[in-house]
Amino acid sequence: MLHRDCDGARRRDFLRLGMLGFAGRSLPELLAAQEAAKRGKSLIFLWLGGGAGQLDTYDMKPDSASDIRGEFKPISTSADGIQMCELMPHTARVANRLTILRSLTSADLGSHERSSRYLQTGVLPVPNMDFASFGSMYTKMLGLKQAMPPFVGVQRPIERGYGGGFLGPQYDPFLAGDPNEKEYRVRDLLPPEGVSLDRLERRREILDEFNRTWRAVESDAKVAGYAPALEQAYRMVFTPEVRDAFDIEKEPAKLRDAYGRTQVGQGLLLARRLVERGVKAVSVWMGGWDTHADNFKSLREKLMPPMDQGFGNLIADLDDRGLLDSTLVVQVGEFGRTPRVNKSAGRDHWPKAFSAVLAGGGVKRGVIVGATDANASEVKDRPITVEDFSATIFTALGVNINAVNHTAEGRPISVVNGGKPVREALA
Amino acid sequence: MPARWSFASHISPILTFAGCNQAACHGSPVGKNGFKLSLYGQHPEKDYAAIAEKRLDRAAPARSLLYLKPTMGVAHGGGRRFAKELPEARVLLAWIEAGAPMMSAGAAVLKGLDVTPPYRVLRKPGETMKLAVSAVYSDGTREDVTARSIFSSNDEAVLKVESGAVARAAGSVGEAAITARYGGLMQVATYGASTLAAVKASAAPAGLVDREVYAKLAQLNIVPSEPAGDEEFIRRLYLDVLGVLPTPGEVRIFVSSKEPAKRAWLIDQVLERPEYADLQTLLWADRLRSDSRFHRVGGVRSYYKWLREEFAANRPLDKFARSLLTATGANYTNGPANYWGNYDKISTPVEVAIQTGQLFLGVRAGCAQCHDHPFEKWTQDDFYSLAAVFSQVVEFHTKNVQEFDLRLSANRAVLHPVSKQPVEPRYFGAGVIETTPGEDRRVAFAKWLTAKENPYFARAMANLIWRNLMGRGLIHPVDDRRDSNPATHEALLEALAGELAGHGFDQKHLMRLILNSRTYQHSSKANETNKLDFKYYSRAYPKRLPAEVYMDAVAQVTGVPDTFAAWPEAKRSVQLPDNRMNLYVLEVFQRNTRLQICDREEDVTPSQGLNLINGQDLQKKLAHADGRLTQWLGSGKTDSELIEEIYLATLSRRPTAQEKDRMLTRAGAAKSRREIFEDMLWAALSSREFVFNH
Repeated sequence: MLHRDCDGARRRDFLRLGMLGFAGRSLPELLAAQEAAKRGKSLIFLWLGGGAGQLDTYDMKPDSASDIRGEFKPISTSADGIQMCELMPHTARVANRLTILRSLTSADLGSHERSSRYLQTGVLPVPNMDFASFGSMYTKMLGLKQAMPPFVGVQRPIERGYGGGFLGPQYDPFLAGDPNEKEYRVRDLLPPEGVSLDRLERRREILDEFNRTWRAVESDAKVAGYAPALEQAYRMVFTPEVRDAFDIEKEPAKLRDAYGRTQVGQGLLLARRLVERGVKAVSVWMGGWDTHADNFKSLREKLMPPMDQGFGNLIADLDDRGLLDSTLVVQVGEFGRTPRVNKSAGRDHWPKAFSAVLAGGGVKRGVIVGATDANASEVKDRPITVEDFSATIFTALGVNINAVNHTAEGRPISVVNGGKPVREALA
Repeated sequence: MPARWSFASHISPILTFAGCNQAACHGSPVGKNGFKLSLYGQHPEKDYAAIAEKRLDRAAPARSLLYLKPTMGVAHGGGRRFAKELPEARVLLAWIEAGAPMMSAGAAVLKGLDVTPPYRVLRKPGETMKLAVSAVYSDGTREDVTARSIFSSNDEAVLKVESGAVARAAGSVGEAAITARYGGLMQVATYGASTLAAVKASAAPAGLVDREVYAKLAQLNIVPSEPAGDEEFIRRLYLDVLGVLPTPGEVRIFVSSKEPAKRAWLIDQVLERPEYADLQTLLWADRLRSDSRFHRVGGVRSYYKWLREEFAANRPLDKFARSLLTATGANYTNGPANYWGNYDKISTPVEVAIQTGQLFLGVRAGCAQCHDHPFEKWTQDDFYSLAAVFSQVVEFHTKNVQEFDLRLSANRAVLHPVSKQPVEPRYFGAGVIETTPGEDRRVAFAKWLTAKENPYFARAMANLIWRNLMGRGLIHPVDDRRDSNPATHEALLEALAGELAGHGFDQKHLMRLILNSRTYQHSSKANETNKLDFKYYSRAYPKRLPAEVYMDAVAQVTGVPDTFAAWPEAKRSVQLPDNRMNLYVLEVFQRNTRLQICDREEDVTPSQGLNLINGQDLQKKLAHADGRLTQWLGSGKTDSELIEEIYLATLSRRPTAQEKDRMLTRAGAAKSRREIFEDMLWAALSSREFVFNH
């Protein structure tokens, strides 16, 4: 396993060249990791769309009634005193690198749309505007100009609240699609059939002709945005590093297998690949968690294995590569699920008490924060509001939570809407 | 010090000025650290109660928390708001020493504010002007309250207010509305700033629109752009009214025609074409948020059908609105019933109030849902009184559980969130709606709303029509009417509203009037004085093609139509009722998500750029064996003629001699004729000039 000196130096990385650690690491890769670390933190945000139940994941209550505790049992993990669902062996193995928040509580009543907006932005939704997602706000505050898109979304966004909102569509994530597809390509990143890169260049020259002679107002703001957007697009097309970053087939097959040949598994692998290469925020969306019926069957067969395998291996892989300290990983959904199992062997929405996981840059390792009551139905200890959750994320990323952005109408919006960072979680 | 104290008039303004009752501090909905004030002091009685409870020490006034906290005599999370020596602190202390009365006998009450100087235009760079605010009291006395007023400008690029109530010309040409707030009241004053040299005023063209627009331009010394040429005009007209491009044949005929009134004639023609109804249906379906997830396929199908019939018949807008506002029945068969909810549930009275406010009153009343509107006179009571109008509707599901059937119930109460008492339904900003039991209150409301003299409806509709054609509403955002956000051309808006109301709310009539104006027909090519004008219509403002219009234009130009398996009757994407249909091009070009009532984004994003550069669909259309390019190439046209066709089809104009020369050179040097013309057509379709309506 990778060791680190107390001052964070990674001298021993060099000693491990040629020794297969998790999946083999080359010098260029390690150097890339160091480069990434120097550039400031990255965010990987795993969204469990539909809402994962706390009693079936991180907040097991084995001593509660059978129609509360459900069908699963807790298992021990690599962290003393932390147990989690038996369906999460991979995550259990990396628990000593996680901060598990058990006392999240949402002020929303529990509609998917509103709660999804709430938990992806940290702000309770209002009718007339959209707030910015964590990734959008973070990359806005970084203010980078680079060929690599600063914020990437993997798989399909599930509800509103995932993009730039009032900050503008330029802060929306660049949507990268499904890396688990055979012959995965980012939509429109490569030339279409029948058109070579050379021909693309020729086309660009002709396009320049057309754009040059247009006589309408250049300073018009909307028109002015056209050229930079196209420039950015061309940069992505013609910069081999960008095409390379999305080329998941370059990852060793063994590693791809380790993460799992699933949408979430390959999505998280792509996320790791991207943050290594200069992407500052990646959102990976995984749906299906809204288990109003057949909760246990769905979790056991469809949802937990791929998520656990992908997530557990992501943490291990990041740590192995020396990227964990410079990457903040967040796993959360829009709410939890009802403690009492319903008539369809399902659980319904439960915003009052639910769990989330943090790992990596800026947060503690192997720690639980907060507690719920005997049935995981109310927060008993150390409640964490969604605003507090947001404040914690931004503090870990090094963003000033009181910084202000303005809407198009001039209304000031702070990065965090009154929450306080959870000190018990921060390193 | 006042002889007779009034908390509302003397103390509350200090709390506002010092920022105590702002949203970030004690004015937040939950207060701060156990001390809650009303936002910006709008409820002085409640604030007084909160203060008198624990923050006054009448025995030792200087030990009152109200005095110690803001002066940092004790620790204060909000920091020091003012020093002990300043008048604010001394007035506070004096008031507490006088027994901290809510209102001394005979104390005067603040009635209004006066802002001076009157309208003027600052003409020198960085020129300043000192503003003054007088408080007018109920006993007729006046007081200079400038030092404790809070100022804001609605356009800081034009005018910025600095400390000391100094307004400074900030560099941009235009007008700004300065709002002065004091003591829970506000007053707006508008001023202009323009460093442009005076121009010899040419005679303003006659006509309602041009008169007002040109008068404002003359005030600001902005020189309007030249009239658009015929080629510019026809492309813009077709895109604005029909959402399609003119064909090369149409362009040629129009440009070469010598008829003196050909533009008026073309406008009349275009307004009668069926594509007009298609485009209006799309624009209204956006604003009504017809959504295939929430209304289901059955709902969006009936909504679309109804909307298209309305616009094909040029239904008067008052009737249109009344149909929506009074609809009943099953939403799969009765289109307007979709206004009231979705498969999941009927919209709550609050949701209908927000929607109706934006769509038909032109007011964002939703801000007043959780608290009195921070800057406007709309209170929470106003908002809930509006919501109470819509409290009678209930649903029940027809045998298809996803369809709803709208019925009226007996009166159900809407409760005020704070008092928990039932709220009386009111016409917005006006009297109580009286109805007999069982009567549909919505009918009375709709009748009031759509009456000719209603102060909201005609203005809201006229502003929307104007915005759709001109690119920006006279009130902007288009549904955000408030005192602190005045119209750029108030007289014009009133006149347009009057024109609409006076002609039976005939939308086409108003459109015809606007389209025939010189203002609409300005070129988008700017001159030195107006290249930074974004609000005074001295030039045409470019608008990016909406997603559906772009997609259809590509299909039209390439001669390869799109087909939509699920909607075989839709021949163009603009006709698709399903806003969630999985069409990447529409998504990436930002079709309206209809999740809220808002305008489409028009920024060009890198994903769009990639789609233009590498889009598979576009390439397929360009390379299509049966497409227009194949036709052209097989028709015996010369390179020169082909180049002309490309420009006419995509940009609705002929190439200049220079452009044609350069393209001919490329064509001559190319290895493959097919390829080079594909590339040329691709470039034309990806150019700024194509992607924008200008």
